[in-house]
Amino acid sequence: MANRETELRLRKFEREALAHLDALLRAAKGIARNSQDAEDITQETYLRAWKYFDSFDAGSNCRGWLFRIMFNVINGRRSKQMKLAEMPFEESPEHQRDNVIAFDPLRRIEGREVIEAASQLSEEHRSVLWLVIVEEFTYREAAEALDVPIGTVMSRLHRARIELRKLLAANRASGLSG
Amino acid sequence: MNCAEIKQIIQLYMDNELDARSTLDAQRHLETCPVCSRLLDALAEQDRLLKQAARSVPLNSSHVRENILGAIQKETSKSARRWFLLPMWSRVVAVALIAIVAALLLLRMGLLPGSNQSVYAAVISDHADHCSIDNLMGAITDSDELAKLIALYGNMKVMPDLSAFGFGESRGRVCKVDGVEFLHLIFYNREQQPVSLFLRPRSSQMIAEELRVIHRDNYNAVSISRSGIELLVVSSLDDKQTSAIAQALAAQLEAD
Repeated sequence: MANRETELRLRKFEREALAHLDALLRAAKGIARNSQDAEDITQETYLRAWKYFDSFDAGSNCRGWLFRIMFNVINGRRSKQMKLAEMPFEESPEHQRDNVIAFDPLRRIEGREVIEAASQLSEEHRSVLWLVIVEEFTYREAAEALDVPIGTVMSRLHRARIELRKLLAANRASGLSG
Repeated sequence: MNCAEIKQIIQLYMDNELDARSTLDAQRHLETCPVCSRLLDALAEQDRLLKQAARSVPLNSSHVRENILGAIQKETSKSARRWFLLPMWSRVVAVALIAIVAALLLLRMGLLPGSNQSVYAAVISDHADHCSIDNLMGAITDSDELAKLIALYGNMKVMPDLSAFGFGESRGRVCKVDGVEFLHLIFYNREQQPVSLFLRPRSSQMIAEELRVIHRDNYNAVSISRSGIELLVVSSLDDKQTSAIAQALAAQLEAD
């Protein structure tokens, strides 16, 4: 590093911002569906965060700030007409093995099926599901990250849940008939 | 709460977004209604599945972390290189500009020579100590003697006049402020509010040449260094009035 000041800034950045790397990468994977895109989005998010780190109010919600940057990155990429995801969701054999969950007393559903169904949702719906359900954001935090009113978060979340349930049922039905 | 109402708020209930009262109402209904309870279980199970599945997706975050830190390192050294790639003249201009701005800031903060903070603190303390009626015993009131002192310290032939501001004749004393000798003139208005004028020939860089206002302990100290004179005015009047008095005194010095 060029000097001590940069070194201290980097240490603070690692402590406050990079501590949320897993959450951002996980959400990016859920939203982008493609591992390479997810990593690119996450890296771009962190580079932007590094650039504007001095403007971040220490002690405030760093996770929320990073997610807001991430959704700006995603929107920017979308506006450049870069398709976020063409490839199906990638899953390791380990994931497939460990993630068998009882969904219904009469049937068993695998985690892979839920992720696949979620990946068929619109990006808006995936984003809100990931924030509120997976990352446990409050509606207010999700609204700030997505830069939309709380009412929009609520309605998107409601529709996303219904849509996910329909997709799970439809996928299961087509799987059984196939 | 009935079933229709529960359906309206079941999402808020699941996401812990209801207030305590509504949460209790919902809980009471859910405990007694198997239909709504099953609906809640189904929705909650879907959320649980999604959360568990999403959180078990393998993440190669150490590799991403290395990439991020590498990119930051690259970006930082690029910025440093950019500076050294600039032509010499532009680096000199940039450094000069930074130095000028820093000097102006320091001057404004009173941290450069010529704006000795301890002088302001000392005159304010002297004003507070010597302007009560009790402490004026022994102050010089004789006009001939005062005129000699004013000629000596202020290089003036006439007495400074603050009648335009409602202040009467002055009393004087010679004092040492921060180790330097000043003539201290004290003026009172009808409300017995004192204004101090500290005066001495300019012989040091103690006081900046421009008008400067320092606020400390409910007093305002205003300094002007002009026409070979160092002048400080201290009062508990507001900074506008104190500045106006200092400027009027400086104008009298120049005119004399």
